[in-house]
Amino acid sequence: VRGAVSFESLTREDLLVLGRAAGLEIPEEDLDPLLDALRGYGRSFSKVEELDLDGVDPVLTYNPGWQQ
Amino acid sequence: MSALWDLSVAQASGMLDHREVSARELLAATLERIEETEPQLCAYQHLMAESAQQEACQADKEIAQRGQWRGPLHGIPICVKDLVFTHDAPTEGGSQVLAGFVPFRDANVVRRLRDGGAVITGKTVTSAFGFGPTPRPTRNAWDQRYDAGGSSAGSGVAVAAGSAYGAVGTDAGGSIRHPAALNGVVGLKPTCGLVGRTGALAMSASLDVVGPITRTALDCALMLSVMAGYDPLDPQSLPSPDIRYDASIDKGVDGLRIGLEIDHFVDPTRPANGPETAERVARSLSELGATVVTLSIPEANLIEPIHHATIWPDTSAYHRRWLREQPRDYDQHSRVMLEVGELIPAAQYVTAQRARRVLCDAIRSAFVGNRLDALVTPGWGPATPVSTGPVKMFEVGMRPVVFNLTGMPAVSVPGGFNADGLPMAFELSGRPFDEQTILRIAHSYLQANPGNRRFPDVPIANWKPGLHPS
Repeated sequence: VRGAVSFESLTREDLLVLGRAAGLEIPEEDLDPLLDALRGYGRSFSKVEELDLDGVDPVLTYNPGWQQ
Repeated sequence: MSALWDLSVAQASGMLDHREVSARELLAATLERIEETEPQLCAYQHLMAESAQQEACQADKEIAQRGQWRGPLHGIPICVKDLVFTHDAPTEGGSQVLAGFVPFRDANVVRRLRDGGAVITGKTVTSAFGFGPTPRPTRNAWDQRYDAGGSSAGSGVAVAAGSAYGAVGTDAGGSIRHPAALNGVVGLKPTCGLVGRTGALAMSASLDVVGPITRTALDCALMLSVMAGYDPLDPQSLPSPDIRYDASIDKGVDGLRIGLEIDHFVDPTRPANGPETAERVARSLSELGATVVTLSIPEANLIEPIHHATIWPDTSAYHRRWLREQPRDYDQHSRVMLEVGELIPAAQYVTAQRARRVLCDAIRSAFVGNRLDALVTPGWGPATPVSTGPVKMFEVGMRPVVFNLTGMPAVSVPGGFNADGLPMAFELSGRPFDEQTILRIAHSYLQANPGNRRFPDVPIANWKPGLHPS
């Protein structure tokens, strides 16, 4: 999907920069498993990126009102 | 004569009421069973034998004086997941991050259980904070070479093995229903907002629930009757009337409309839990008088990515301070998952919540359009052999987490055994706040299929008491 977030091209160095921006010191030994996990997450989320969500409001709190 | 530890809550409560047994005798049988099975199963993190003895003595005194009966859990030994606060025993969440932490008060649900006269036997093993490895090697009650499920691993195993009559679990992504399914017991994820969550360590405000794990659907209804109620400190909690969830449990399924969705609910990564169990259950319910409607909800294919994009940012937000101040107190797997949550873009989180709306609307339309009272879908399990390898979190199917995303009630119900003798399970979900109907259906099915009510043959060991004192 054009413009969709992609984690496939991220590098270990990118993670350190992103971590610093988030105020997080990512330990050296976490970089490879984190890259692997982020790429897995990104591949999983690609299904959602394909949806047309124009005009759809987000669920920000659960509302059980539909029972009534 | 059966051993006392293998009674159901309903049976034990009836015997207490008729003075055929005392709370102290029930507790003694439970503690003896814990001694026998704990070396193999590792279900408990902290045993609370001393305070439990005091609670059992108190219950016996009160029951002896007519008019002081507190309800169906009075004098019944119940265990609590180690993510749920107890003022008189540590709540460590299965992690070094909270090593030695003793909360200054009970969780809302523990207070309700104690007010209802339950005897708290101890804290049960949880995956670290609900998503990491377990601090003790908890094993499946049916075969110790197999996984116990999680994250309420100890709660599911303890109930299955007879080392508690019922248990408290928490569920943000199947954590009550998964261990219940893998250990052949009943696990209920209540409607979000029905059971107060104050004092339960959080993963996600919109996904977390607290609920019961028991051996029968009737016991689940009895526990829920005590656990449910408004919690003023939980913003998600909703006022609800005092309901006895067992009141209509014997009414059968005649006249009920029950949906069956298999195509999009079979775990694509665990085909062993194929359609057979759910189809067999649907046939049984049809024979019992229900109308079964086969339907298709293709939006279910979105479940896992929406759940991932919701739960990890939510969980990371709760751990934000600890992750920065005590990063080395986390195991690496847990730390990496929290780092993932920190790096998921906010716009993607909101996109996931918009897709969640599509999914919720699809499920609601299936219920309303087909006038359904409940939905049968494949459950978790069967258990897989214990693995020490890395978990590929984003490559594992997790279809039952849909009911965390929609907030609906869902119960995992035993559905027979596979060729290896391991429990199979199915899920029954219902309309919000209609726990009564799904427990009634589960009860009808289990009554008509009594082969599901078996106990695992846990090898007995010589164990020295006091290994895990509170």
